[in-house]
Amino acid sequence: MNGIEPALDFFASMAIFSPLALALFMLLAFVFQIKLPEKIIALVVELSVFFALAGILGIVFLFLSNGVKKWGYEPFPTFHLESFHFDFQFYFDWLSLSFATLALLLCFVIAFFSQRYMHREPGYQRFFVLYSIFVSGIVIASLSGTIESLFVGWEMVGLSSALLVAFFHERVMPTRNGLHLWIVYRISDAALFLASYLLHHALGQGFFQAILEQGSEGLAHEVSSPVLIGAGVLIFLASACKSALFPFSGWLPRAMEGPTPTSAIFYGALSIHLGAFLLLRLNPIVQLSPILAWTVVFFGLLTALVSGIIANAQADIKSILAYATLTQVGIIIAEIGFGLELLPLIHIIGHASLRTYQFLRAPSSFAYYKSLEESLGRTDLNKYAPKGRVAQTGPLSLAIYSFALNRGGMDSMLEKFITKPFVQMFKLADIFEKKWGSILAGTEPSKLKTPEERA
Amino acid sequence: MTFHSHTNSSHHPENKLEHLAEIISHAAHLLPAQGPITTFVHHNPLHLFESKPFHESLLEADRIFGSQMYLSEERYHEELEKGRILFSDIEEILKSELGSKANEIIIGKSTRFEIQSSMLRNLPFAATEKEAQWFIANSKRLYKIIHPESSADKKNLNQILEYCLKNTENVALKTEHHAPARFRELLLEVTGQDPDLLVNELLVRFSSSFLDQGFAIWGLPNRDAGFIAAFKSFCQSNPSLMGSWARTLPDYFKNLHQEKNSALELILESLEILGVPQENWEPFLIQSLLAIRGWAGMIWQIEVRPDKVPLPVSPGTLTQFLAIRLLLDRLAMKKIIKEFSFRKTSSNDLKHELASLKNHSEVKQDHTALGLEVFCVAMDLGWEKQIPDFTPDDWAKVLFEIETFSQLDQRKIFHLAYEKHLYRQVLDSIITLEQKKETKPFMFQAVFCIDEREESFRRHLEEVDPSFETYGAAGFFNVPMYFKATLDSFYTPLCPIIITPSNWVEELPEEEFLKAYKTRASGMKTIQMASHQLHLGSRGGALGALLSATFGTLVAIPLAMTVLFPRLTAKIRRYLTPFLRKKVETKLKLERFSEKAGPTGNQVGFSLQEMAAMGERFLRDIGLTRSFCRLVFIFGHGSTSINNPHQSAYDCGACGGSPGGANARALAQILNDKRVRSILQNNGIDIPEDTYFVGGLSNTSINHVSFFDKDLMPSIHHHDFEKAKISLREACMRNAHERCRRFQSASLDISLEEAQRHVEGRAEDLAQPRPELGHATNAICIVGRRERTRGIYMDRRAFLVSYDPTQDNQNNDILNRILNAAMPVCSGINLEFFFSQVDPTGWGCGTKLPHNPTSYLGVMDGAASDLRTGLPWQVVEIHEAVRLLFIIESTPEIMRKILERCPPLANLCYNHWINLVLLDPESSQASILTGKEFVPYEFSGTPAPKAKSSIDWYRGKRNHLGYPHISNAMNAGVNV
Amino acid sequence: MNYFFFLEASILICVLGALFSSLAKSQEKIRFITIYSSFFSTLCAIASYLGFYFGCQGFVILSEFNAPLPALSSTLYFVVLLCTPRTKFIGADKPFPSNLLLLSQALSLLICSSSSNTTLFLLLALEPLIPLIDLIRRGERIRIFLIHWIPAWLIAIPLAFANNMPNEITGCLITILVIIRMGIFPGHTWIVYLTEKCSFSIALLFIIPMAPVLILLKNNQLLHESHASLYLSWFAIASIFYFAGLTLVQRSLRNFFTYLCLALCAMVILGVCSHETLELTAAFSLRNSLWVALIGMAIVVRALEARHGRLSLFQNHGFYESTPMLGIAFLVCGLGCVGFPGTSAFISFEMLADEIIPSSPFFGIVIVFSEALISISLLMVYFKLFCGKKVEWSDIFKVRLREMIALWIIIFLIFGFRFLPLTDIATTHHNLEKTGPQQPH
Repeated sequence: MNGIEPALDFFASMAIFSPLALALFMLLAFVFQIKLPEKIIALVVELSVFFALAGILGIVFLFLSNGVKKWGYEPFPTFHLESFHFDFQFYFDWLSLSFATLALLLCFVIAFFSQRYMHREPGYQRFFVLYSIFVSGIVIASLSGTIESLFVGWEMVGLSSALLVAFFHERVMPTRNGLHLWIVYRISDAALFLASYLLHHALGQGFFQAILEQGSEGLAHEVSSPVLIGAGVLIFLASACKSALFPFSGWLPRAMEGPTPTSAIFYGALSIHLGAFLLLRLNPIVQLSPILAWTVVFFGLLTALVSGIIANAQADIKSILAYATLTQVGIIIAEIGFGLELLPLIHIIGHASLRTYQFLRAPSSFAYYKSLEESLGRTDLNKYAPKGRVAQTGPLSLAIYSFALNRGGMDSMLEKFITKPFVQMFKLADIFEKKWGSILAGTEPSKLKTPEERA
Repeated sequence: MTFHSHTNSSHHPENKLEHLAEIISHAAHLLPAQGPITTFVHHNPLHLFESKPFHESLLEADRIFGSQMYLSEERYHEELEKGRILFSDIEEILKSELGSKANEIIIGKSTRFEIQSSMLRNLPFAATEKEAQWFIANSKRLYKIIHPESSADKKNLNQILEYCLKNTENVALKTEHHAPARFRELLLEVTGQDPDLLVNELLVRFSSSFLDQGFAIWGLPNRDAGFIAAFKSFCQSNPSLMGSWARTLPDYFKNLHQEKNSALELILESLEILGVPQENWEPFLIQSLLAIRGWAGMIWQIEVRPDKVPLPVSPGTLTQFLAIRLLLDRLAMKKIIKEFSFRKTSSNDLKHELASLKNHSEVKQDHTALGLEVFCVAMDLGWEKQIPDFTPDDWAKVLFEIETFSQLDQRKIFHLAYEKHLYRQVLDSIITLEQKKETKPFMFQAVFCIDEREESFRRHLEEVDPSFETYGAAGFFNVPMYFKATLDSFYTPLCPIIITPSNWVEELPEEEFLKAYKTRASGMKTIQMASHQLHLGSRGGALGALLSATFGTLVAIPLAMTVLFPRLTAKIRRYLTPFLRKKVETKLKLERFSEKAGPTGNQVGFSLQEMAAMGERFLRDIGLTRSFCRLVFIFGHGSTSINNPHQSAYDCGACGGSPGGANARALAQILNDKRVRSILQNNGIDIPEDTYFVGGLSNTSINHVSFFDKDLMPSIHHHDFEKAKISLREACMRNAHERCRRFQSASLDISLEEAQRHVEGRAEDLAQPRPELGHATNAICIVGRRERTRGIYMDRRAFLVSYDPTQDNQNNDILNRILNAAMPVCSGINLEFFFSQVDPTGWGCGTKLPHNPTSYLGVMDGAASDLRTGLPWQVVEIHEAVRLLFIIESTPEIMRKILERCPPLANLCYNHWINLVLLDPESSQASILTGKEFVPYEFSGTPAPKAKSSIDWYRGKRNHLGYPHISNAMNAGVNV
Repeated sequence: MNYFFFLEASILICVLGALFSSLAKSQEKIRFITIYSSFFSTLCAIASYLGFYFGCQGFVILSEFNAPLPALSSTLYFVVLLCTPRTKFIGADKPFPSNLLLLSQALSLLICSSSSNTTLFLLLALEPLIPLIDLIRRGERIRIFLIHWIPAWLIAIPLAFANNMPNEITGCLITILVIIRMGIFPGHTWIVYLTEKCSFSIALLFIIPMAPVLILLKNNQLLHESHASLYLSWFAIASIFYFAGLTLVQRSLRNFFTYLCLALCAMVILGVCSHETLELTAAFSLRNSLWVALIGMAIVVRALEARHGRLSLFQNHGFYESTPMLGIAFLVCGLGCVGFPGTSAFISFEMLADEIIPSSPFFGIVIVFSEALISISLLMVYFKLFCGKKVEWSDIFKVRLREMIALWIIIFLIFGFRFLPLTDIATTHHNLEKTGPQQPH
């Protein structure tokens, strides 16, 4: 590659290490309870995101000027121990570069936005600690060249998202909704972890480069495809959780508890598209089995349809936007399922920018509707709504409406079939434990109440 | 509370239902009274309590609402440390509150006064025993209060504490423990599950759809049939999709007929099933309504004022809402109990189940807080030697003393001291202001709204140009009207919310601009329609995909631009909107030719008589009846900001939360009318031929002034007008500069020009949660001549109402009129800020950052919460929670008479929702309304500070400042 | 070989400290003695580790394998003692068992450094005496304790001395002993009782170090041959899932913490049951990481309880406002427990799961799933404890400097473990390859 490696190395380390250094710095300051002034925090965050962005753009420039198409970068020595190896590699190609550019650009803008928006908020520093963890997570996830390193970024994104949803933590609702998000994300993490194992088992390593170069046909020939298909299913499960596909969509409107900029960047733009990005990255595996590919298409379209319906009945701006986002994500996933590559990427980029803008402007919707009202007239306004505000009362439209207002019943479904039996089972076990313990200890059997609450 | 329901057989069911209806209509008045947020009107959240004394109401409201009533003790202690509260003030207030009881000896040598002031000095807290031990072992605070001669060292502190705890353990607490009226607390304690979480989520989602005024694309089916009917059809059509707890809902509706009383019957049924005894109905229902008070209050508001919204609800909706709420409560409780005890509960068992849960509950009275309080007092007063020898009698006495001086009582004392310090500074400054004897003529007069944000503008104007005389009048300028601007499609009321206007005024384009106007109007319409369709499209599926895949990426450009360079983007946007740039001259259609007033055709406008009457009343109110200058400016005010749901709270309160420019313009036009002037002349107000009135609008967020109908101004005024404009612009800039000292993000050494740019940038910044600080810091209202205050730096904290007592008639009709408008409005603003600052999440709407616009009515926190009413934290952040100090230039006799005539005002004054001070019109004497008597105010002896100019005084400081005399602003008039 | 008696000195200091603190009268003095003797003992333990590197040994012969353990163990003891709040010493209704803790530190040092099976079993039998004494001192019932430990003692003693038992019997006995000592299902009831009734410091320092791991490592070959490790691993996997599930429904912080410990300990035991060097390496380094993380969690739990008494998980407490440091530490330690990327347990957890899955995919899935469950309940408890309520009086409860230092040490160990030679996985692996499974009985 005509001697541009040192430059590439330099830019790559800039792109990766400046957010990591930022996260480390912010975390250290936080752990040591050093209260940084707002201006310093904002400056540090903006500078390091800017550096990362500059690094990415530098690589893009080098790629374009030298006609390079892909390049792997390994900052750390690989950890090998007998059969176990943990490869921390970054891989630059048109997909990872464009997603990383999008992510860093939005992060940069949102950092600017939040700097003023969060001004004088007591949790200012905490916000930016989590924000920088998120930035480094998303950079690692989007640039990673192996499934292990993707997993690291994936988890960082998950943790910071959950804690940012619960940002206003003196209220109960944000914490409940943050927990909800965390539960779904942990399922996704577990799936991705198992997928990563299966990939390793099937291919001997988890390099994306190898997968991409072989393509689905190459993969089908060379290695045991049932294992790979299993991995594909798990990867789809992981990205379905992350991208809030049906039936996991319940967390998305709940995630609007955080401050507006986080709703914008996470659930309008980046987190929600991360699942799609993963599928796009590992598309050869998805395409390995037509059944799997069709499943992806099916769930994508189903999500788009369902959330398209649900969006119509929502009466608060953030839920409306959340379901509008989901409609597009569903379509994107379906596009990926069809085996397309460029279209979903363009779709992701366009959609993320558009939605971020709409989320940021959400608080101004009163002014927007008022000006609309003023120039169109109140009665006219209702006329311009596409389906008409005059509600239908036929049984079918009623059913559709209540489906929409109940948000498809997804949460209650998951609750009924998964959460509730599980929790009830362990509650019973716990009661049994208490009884058994008191019998063994010879204390009087407590009446459902452990001693410490009485104390 | 008992859980056995004894249905009283002596009551007929009808009586019961009536009783219920009565309770509900009473409870409805406790709900927040905020209407749609787009016309935000400030009001006292405890309006219902105004007929009772302030402190007593707070005690009562404390039990009902569960929100804070005063600032926290901790906060007061901080202020004490800062010197904002003086301990000497506290002691003085305590003495006067205790009166003769102050010096009663309670124990040893300690008097009641000593005990209470010791309790105020130290800072114990409600704690568990562990927490108390931790406090003693680790708190530095404790060592501050230990008596200096105390022999106790750290070691036996614990023994003393133990002693105190032991002796308080067995005392029955006098302060009654209020059992919660609902069952939620019990369930939460025993099972750890909160039924409200389940119920509220569903109810909030449904209510927001039910009340939606246009955000959702689909309307709620069967909405017109009422809340219950709509809910019924909603849950019958697809019960399997609801949470498992609510799946049985359709069964409950089977027997329910749509009769008139069905909602009440449903409530009655719920009360019986839950086993709420009749004497507990009221608190139970009140608390059930208050559980999501924002939504309930909004339903009530729309129910009683259906004219405020396009899609009103029918009467009785609140009752239906309550009925559904109780039904859902029942189901949620049943589910939780079932899961807790692993067995089924039939619906009628619920009260037994709840009663049996009660056995699991072990809430007991915790005496530790009291014990700790005794301990702290003992350490402070040096009792540690005697304490082991206290007899049971002594203990009883001490405990009684300490317990009866409750936390709210303590905070009341703090609060009074907090206010007293401020009031003293203001009053000292006013009564020591030297009165100018000789008067010099003025060149200009300017009338502003009484808004305290205009105080600094007026002061700077007087400083910049001493030839300005300024007046303050309520910002609708006595022209109540429905107004429709050229591009509007409907009328907006421009007057205080309590007045219903009877005239309509329209803004029309001038003949020669008609064509331009038409293109502009249709252009606007097309743009709006197209952008709305695009917006909706971007949210949909297919079109959304198309849009986001093609143009989505381009949105990144405006996104980055607006966030990174807000001012530049705003400029570009203005430049790119040709329709807005093409100038269209307009006129007001002000005069009516037909008999009857109405919104269309010839009915639009006022008759000549009406105009003259309004004009005369206005001039008499502010006392401008002679020595008119050649130019008289009248400024309404408004505010612009983006991305701000509470924008309307920054506009003119006297114009019902809209900008007041049109009123100023109308008034100027009225007073310039020759026929009006001749009528006025007959009535004794002689406006010289060459006096010209100019209407204008002052923008409080970007500090700009603009003028209306400049083209109609006679050319002889042009020179003066240009001169005045220069002064006004300069004053605007200085005003912006003074405002900037409050913004952390503006540096303290900012220059005048930078300050102007800074405030402009704020208003155009998408990311700015504080475009301006609104009415924050308001504390004073002065009704009187400007001479009495001209030259005092009021720190943007004073509403200034012009009133000339020498021109008032025998009946004091003018003062009466003024107070009737100003007192409720100003106290409403002040008390809204007061409570929103005292409890930002209880009374205010919390922080703005997670707000989510809902139903085109209000904001929620995040995804699904109660509708948040009140003011956001960002607005009240720098406010000081003090009651408004009304300073009126009048005498006690006159005041008494006026208050006699107006019971609402008497309530406000005598119950001390505001504090009233009278300033003698002839001397510098002041008297304070204390209890129900006017007591002369004594000058504290510290002269007011002096400064050369406002900027000298405030430069480099962020916090609240005193009230100095500004020598620059004292020069009034021009030297001839 | 140079003689170098730091380890012995470290043990001696502990014993002497325990003696003096039993004799001391005033609580202040006891506090002083306890903390300082633990501190010096820790210094000596660290010195012995450094000494080992330079080729010095004392009477107790350290191997490359267990050399770092005394240092780690006594550091953690010291950290726990360092941040013991004043209220525990002064004015508490029940006296703080500082002498017992120092004895336990000495025992733990011995266990970490002992190399023969006999001493290990003996020490293992001796160790539970400490919580037993504490229970008796506190006047609590000891029935449940004896029900479990009398059989355990009866097993441990013969194991220590009988060398010629058939492998099957030895394996079986060791399995039973481990199940009881580690609280593997169904032998866990006494541990729940212990954490509730015993002094929290004693209980946690008894459970968290997972002493039997050493025995399992030592007798790996034997256990493998006798198939006992298979049975044990079945018990372990059941425990992991069961306890992970139970953490979700606990109503008190203490119980939550107990089940968390039990689930994670069972995970280590599962790893140690294997015969693969790689898995053993993973399990052993996981044990060291968890040791630190759990001690950190325990410190947070204790610090909260010292301030507010026993805490129910039915309410939200909102402590973040008053003690943000505890909140951060709780999260960091919690993440350290579940092997979040960046923490020291991350790689070992990855390795463990990665190695278990091929031999038994079911086990792998259960482990991954339980880990997800634990992380869910951790965040849930975090929210319950630190969020959901507005707290006043925040400055009274703010974190003391000592607690801060202790937590910093823990956080440093959690994040920086990989950088220390102490448990660098490769080293462990190397050592295990030499000494581990091939160790003859």
